[in-house]
Amino acid sequence: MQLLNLKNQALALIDQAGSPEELKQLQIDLLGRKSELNQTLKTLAKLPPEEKINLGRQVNETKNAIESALNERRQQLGGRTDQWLDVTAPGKQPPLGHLHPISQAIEEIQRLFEHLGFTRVRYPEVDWDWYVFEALNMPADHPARDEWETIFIDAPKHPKLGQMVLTTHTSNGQVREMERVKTPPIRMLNIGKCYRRQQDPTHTVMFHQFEGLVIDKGISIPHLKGTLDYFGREFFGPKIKSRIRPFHFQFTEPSFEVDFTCTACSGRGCRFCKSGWVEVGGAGMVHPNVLKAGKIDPRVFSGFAFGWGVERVLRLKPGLNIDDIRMLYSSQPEFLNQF
Amino acid sequence: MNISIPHSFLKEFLQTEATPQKIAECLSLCGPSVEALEKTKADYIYHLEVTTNRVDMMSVLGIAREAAASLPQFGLKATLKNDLYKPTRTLPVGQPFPLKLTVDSKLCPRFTAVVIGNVTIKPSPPSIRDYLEKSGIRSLNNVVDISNYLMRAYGQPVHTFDLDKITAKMVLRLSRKGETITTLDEKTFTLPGGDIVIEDGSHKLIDLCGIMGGASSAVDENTKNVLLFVQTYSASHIRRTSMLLGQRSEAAQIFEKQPDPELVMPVILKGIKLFKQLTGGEQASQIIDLYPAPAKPKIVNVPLQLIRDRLGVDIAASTVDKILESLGFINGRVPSWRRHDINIPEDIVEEVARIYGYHRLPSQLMTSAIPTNYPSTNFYLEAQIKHWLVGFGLTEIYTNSLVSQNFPGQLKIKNALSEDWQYLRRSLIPSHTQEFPAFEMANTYHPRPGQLPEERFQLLISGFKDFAKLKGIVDALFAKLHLPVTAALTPTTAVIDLEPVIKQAKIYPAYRPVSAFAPVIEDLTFTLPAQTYVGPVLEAIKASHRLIASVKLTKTWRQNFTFTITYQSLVKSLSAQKVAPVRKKIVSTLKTKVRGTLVGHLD
Repeated sequence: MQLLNLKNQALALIDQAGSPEELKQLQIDLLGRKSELNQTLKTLAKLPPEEKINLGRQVNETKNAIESALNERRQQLGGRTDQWLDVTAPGKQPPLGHLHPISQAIEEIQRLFEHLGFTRVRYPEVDWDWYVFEALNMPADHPARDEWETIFIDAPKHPKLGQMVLTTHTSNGQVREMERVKTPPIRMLNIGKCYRRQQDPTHTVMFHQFEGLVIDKGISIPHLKGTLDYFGREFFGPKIKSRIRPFHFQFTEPSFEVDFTCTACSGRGCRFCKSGWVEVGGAGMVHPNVLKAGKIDPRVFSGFAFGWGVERVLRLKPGLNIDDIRMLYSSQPEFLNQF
Repeated sequence: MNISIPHSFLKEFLQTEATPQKIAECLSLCGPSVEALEKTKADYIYHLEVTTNRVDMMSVLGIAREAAASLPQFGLKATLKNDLYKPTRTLPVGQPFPLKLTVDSKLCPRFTAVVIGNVTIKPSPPSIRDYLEKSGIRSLNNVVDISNYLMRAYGQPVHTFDLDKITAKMVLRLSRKGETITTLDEKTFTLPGGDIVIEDGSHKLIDLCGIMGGASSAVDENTKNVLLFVQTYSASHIRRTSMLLGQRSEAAQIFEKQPDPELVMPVILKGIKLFKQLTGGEQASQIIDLYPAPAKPKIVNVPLQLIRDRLGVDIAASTVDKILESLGFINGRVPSWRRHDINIPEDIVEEVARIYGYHRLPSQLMTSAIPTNYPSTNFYLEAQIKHWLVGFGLTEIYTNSLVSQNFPGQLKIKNALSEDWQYLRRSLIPSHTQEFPAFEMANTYHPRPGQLPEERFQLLISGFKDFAKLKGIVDALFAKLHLPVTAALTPTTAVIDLEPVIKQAKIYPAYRPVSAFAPVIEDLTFTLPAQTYVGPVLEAIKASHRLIASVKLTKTWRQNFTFTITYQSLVKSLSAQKVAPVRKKIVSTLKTKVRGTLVGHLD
């Protein structure tokens, strides 16, 4: 009881203190060697053990409460010093780090597909021809392979899986994911580094793709359209729509090219997009042969897949205006410090 | 493949009132993509992208067929006209063919040829020249223009020889390695061997089949008798030769994609007609047609329910039939020009869906079960580590996995694009040449015999001039991960293998109760012998007594090291007197372990 009174009095005194000097004196009076609290502490030794513990704890709590009240009041008074404070002078910043825009985009893509129940995975960047082409319904020497500008590794061929290549697309994850999951449902998001023999302002020899793969009973073109519309809205903005147009890939049937409303002109048509639409990449309904390669029965299950460049969607982020994606891999602080 | 077609040329095959703008829009949504619609003085030019599976669309007829199928879905009338596939007359009979022929039908599934006599070489009429030039083909003379017109209008490459420059016979065979041929464009090739060629009676090669004709038998301004030559070839042979020689002529690009052999005869008949109109030349021999194995009609049936399931709409059977008929599918029979492209019911689904219009299909998210079979990769912790490092003031960089330096044990690229990108790196360190504190998370690649390389996911921290700052970052990172430090440090870099770190890291550490008793905090300064490692000293102090909650090195001056030591107990309050024995223990420990002496005296 005595301690409680002491605490309340002390807190009142601290609250009324008008200057740091006054606080300093209060600290000596309340917590110093000759303070009442310290005197109480000295009586502890003579008490029976049970009371000792109890009182000791109370003394400690009181002490802590007074200390924190002193600190708090000290901070409040800090602003009221007589010294002139220039609030317009620059503050002392901590060193600013910068997350790379590719990581930023990948995190965003991962987050928004996870909302749809997609599972992020990562598969080899150096893979066998089987997973990159053959299992995707592209036999050796098929003209469709020309599109990929493949980079080959100087290594012996695998007797069954063929040549060792740098993955030209994240689609190598399709059959690998079917092998991992075995029985649908599958909702895969594979994000990874890819490589092609191309280097110019809109292509880099190393780049990133994200691949969506959905397999289940009754998956249809409207499901793909719904997923694309969702992505457009979430990633580019609420007014962005998607559309699909006919195309051809060996590993999807039907195959599509995917456009989104141009973010620069909101679909009115501009110098950049001409038509109001911007092409982002490919998509399609998984070809039955690909399902078979992944040991999934195409008579029971169907699916869709899409695979696009992370750099590509980043370039189309409203207002970002990256005109040369080679900057991304240049380690230039003038570029990176802007993110 | 790209193809340019003027609107005027298209209208030769398409009856419609639709504007070029509307046609371009409908084609893009339902068929080939119109990349640009170019306006000229009195015409429009469609610049189209044709996918590799649709070699039949590398022609004005093919595009017109697509337009005639798509436009009605937009409420616009359109019909196909001048369809070459509709036979217009029977085969004319003529004189015997003047050359002895030996043709391997495995290399040339369909071989047709006819002699046209008494041609007059002169410029083509303006309409033909206009069509060709707007299609991006240079007009030369009437004979060459006929070949190009036939190829562009129908998508069937055609060749013409000067008959009088060919000796006695033609043998169509595979080339032997090292044989040479000079082609029409005056380039001489030494053949890789296994290329489809034609040799005449003088043992000269007169044609590099499907790619380009030989110079020695070329039509020139004095040509009187022409051999009109229309074939299909083994696609894989054409592709191989074309790739090996780097000769990607339009003819080669068409032949390697298996054009329709049923188109060959209508084209040669049309050719005979054009020769008469443009050159005055007359058919002067029978038409040779070597076609020993005509393809049987192909049937692909598709259940209506499959179409409805994939499209997500209850499309009427009559609508499906109408769409398929407009594309040439009759009762499940695949038109000859789509023979290689249409194989399974899903291929038919695509035809129906695209012409019906993808834009008319609903858009909806999946409502089926969400998979819960996750892989073990912890992408969240990876991202978290990046964010911590950024919070510590570092900048993330991405550098290329392909490097120029050849270090032992690196995988080599077989077909490097540049000298800068010849190897797959086995260390991230050489890639970090930047002069600011930075980090990168990326794979390094470590070859394994007979297997794919090990892809080791690593974190490199670099760009520090002050080792203590670098080490501080590493220590702070591992503190956040609640792990002992496991990094490979050099004076300027730290490499961390992420896989084991992420596997062992604790997001939630084991909680220790917070002491209700105030700690005693004091500084002790020791003089340590020169070059004493201070890390073990800190560990020794910490380990010397269980009441020592923490030890920090707070000040150093010459050989004097000041440690701030926090004593705290969970069960009782401590005082300066009570920690005296602990203090003594510290002093004695440092004395025996590192010959350190306390500055000052103990009571």
